[in-house]
Amino acid sequence: MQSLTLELLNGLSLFATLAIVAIGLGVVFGLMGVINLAHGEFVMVGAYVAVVADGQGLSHWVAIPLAAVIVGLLGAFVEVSLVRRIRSQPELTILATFGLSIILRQLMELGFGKEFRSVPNPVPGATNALGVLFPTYRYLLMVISLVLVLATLLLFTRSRLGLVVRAIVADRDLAESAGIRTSATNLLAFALGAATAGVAGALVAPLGAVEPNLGLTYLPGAFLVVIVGGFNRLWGVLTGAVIVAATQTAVLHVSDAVWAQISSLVLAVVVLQVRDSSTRGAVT
Amino acid sequence: MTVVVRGFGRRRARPGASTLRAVAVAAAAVAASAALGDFRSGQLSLFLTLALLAVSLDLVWGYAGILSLGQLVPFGTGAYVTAVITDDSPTSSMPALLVAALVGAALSSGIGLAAFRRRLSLVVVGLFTLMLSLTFEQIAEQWRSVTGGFNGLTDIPRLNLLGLQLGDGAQDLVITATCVLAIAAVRLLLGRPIGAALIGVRDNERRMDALGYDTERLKLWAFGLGGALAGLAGALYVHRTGFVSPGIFGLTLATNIVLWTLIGGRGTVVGPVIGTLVINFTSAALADVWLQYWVLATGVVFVAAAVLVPEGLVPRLLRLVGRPVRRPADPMLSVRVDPPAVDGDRALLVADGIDKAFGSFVVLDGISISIERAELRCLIGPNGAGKSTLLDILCGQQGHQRGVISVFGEDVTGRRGWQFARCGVSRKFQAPHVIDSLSVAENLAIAAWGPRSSAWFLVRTDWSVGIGEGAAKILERTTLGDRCDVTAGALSHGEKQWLEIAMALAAPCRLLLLDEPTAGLTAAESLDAAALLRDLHAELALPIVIVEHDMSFIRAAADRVTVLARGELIADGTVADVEVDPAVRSVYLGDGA
Repeated sequence: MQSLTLELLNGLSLFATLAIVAIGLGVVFGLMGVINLAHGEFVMVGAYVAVVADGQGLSHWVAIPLAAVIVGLLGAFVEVSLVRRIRSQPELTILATFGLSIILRQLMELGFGKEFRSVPNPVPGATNALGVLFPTYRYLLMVISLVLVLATLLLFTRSRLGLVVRAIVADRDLAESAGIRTSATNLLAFALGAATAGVAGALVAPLGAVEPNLGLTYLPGAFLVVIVGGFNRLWGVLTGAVIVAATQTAVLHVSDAVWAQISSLVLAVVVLQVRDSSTRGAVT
Repeated sequence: MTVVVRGFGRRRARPGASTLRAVAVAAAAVAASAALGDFRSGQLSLFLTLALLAVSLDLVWGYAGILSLGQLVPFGTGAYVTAVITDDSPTSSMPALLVAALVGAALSSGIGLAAFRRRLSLVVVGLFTLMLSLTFEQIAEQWRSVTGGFNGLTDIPRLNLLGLQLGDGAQDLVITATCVLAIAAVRLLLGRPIGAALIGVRDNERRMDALGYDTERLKLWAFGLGGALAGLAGALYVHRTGFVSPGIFGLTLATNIVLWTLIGGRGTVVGPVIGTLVINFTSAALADVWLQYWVLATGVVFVAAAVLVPEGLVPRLLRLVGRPVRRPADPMLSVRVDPPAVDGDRALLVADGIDKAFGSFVVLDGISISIERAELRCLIGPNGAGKSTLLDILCGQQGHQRGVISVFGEDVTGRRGWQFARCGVSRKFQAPHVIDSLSVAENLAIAAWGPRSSAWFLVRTDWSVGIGEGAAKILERTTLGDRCDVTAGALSHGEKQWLEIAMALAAPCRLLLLDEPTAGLTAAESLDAAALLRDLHAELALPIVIVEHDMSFIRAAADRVTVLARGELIADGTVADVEVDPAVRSVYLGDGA
């Protein structure tokens, strides 16, 4: 019973992490149709912001909003200097953001070295609840992640910004001629997506080692969440994260990481074969 | 009976001559390699295995048009398979190379099947293949009993040729020769009609589908062949380096081959080879001091290439000196006389009770239409009436929810576009769909092969083909006849319209569906078009269905008019009948009319 509860908490924690990493991707890729293979590196940069902040003696709770701002600005810079020029050509966007991910990894390696960095746990200790001991910080991580994910979801579905974004997704030219500044909205959406990735990076930094390849461990999972959740359905990020987290936790329980990875791949194949491909992601 | 309508004066290299040339190039490469000395010769052979890998990616990406980030899956697996089955026994390495190529082909075909069956987008295929690479890397790390885990497998013996164990120097020469021959073979192959067909799939998959090409199979074929080449490259690579580790599936190499292919120029065979060799020799020449910045430079060059020179350096240079990137083949077109399109009284096309809805939006509501004889039928109706959708359904380009379609007495409900085309139903789209990168003559040849287009046929056949009389008539009566060797992308709008109609008539055509053939033409051109279509219709006894808006065209051309409004069929008859029909008048002019 205890081990089951523990697995459940592990699964919930994975769900929250996947959701906060994937929500930015859901906005940029799923909703706006812009592929960003450097999304994982945005997460990685966010984690390094936490490392540097810790080195400067700043509290982790300052580092998290700081990561949002810094990575958000980085995203804005990337959108203006790169993505904007090629957004209508998916293949070039794949290539360019792939190149960007190399640049970001390599810059971090040159700046901070290859070695693992760590961020001290701001809330050491465990909480005893439901009969099991579970790290307090991971409870906090779940709460913060889910609040931010919900806030992002509401922002993009219920606010004026969400309305404008949906107008642009439906018909860019019509939106433009209706007086919507599509380029400004694209910029804002991309920057917000990057900011959530930065937050995700800072949040996961105390959980494990921070290193230049950190983003690569998160990117496939995040894309999987968006694929499983469905393109153009932002709330699908939540269902996607639930399904992916449940599958991985279940497989990890009976087997090891390789099988978890393989199961993810199988999941992606199955979902893509079953799902009607006439979705937004089917832009060619 | 065949009459040559056009043969070009240019001398075409005979296949024998091309094979000889390939052997000559390989011999030259070996000689050059021997002259370079052991160290450079070793580098050259290593880089050529990578060049072969880049060419395999180019086949998939540059020709079939699918960016795969997982080309290392067949490459690395080929390397591991070779490493596992090769031991010190004095047996030939040939079977191992063959097995590696077959495993590569099987893996890539599997990937292709998963990716193409649902017509996934480029982006999703890219992601999927990337994830696959990362998974294979993990498997290689964890499956220690077979792969040797993180440290991989070492001390893999050198190549053995029919019992003769090669030394380092000899092996380098053999690998160099093998790679050059394999690359030359790919180049020869892509100069055959199959190369043009793959370009067609890349440029305009919908057109190829409507011509009778099973595009999924062609892409799968390219993926499989690419996988075989990558598997072979992996096997040679592992003999050359003597060890293999999980890094062979890693992101660094995956990134690099995409970069070499991108910079060299995809869609050419030479480009990726030059890209691979130049970049690798450069990086090898740069001292270790620069090594840490090398990867960073890779990223920067990647971004710059994607934004500034997306077509690649070799094509860009060729264009600068005024040479074509791809020299078009010069097909020998002759006129083929087909049996009459209509024989007997059988109904040609019957669609019964067609329902089509996009979500809750009903486009067609129980439409029944039949073409019974060689008539020229016009399909008219206000915007949004569902005309183009109906035409799409009548040639299998779109599915529908309910209703039965039969063509020449055969029930074809639920079949795909290319299957309709193989029954003799030809289609011209509203906006011109031609294959921009191919010449006019190549477009016609590709169109004429459509119904027989198995990959193997396209490899075997040479560039001489019979086109239908209708296509030949269009060449004679329009400016197109003089522009056979012009690239289709460079044609004017009107010429593209005619080329597409000629393509629809190049293969044996028994029913022609045209969607607004006069769109974008001037009033005079439009009347000419009507006259030409009427002549084709009369001389070939060809049944034609035309969606049209232009009333003067319809009066000049139509035998019979069917009127569609809001997804329902509201009138059917001669032009005169329909023009006075109250229902039609009310739809076009409002209820008060």
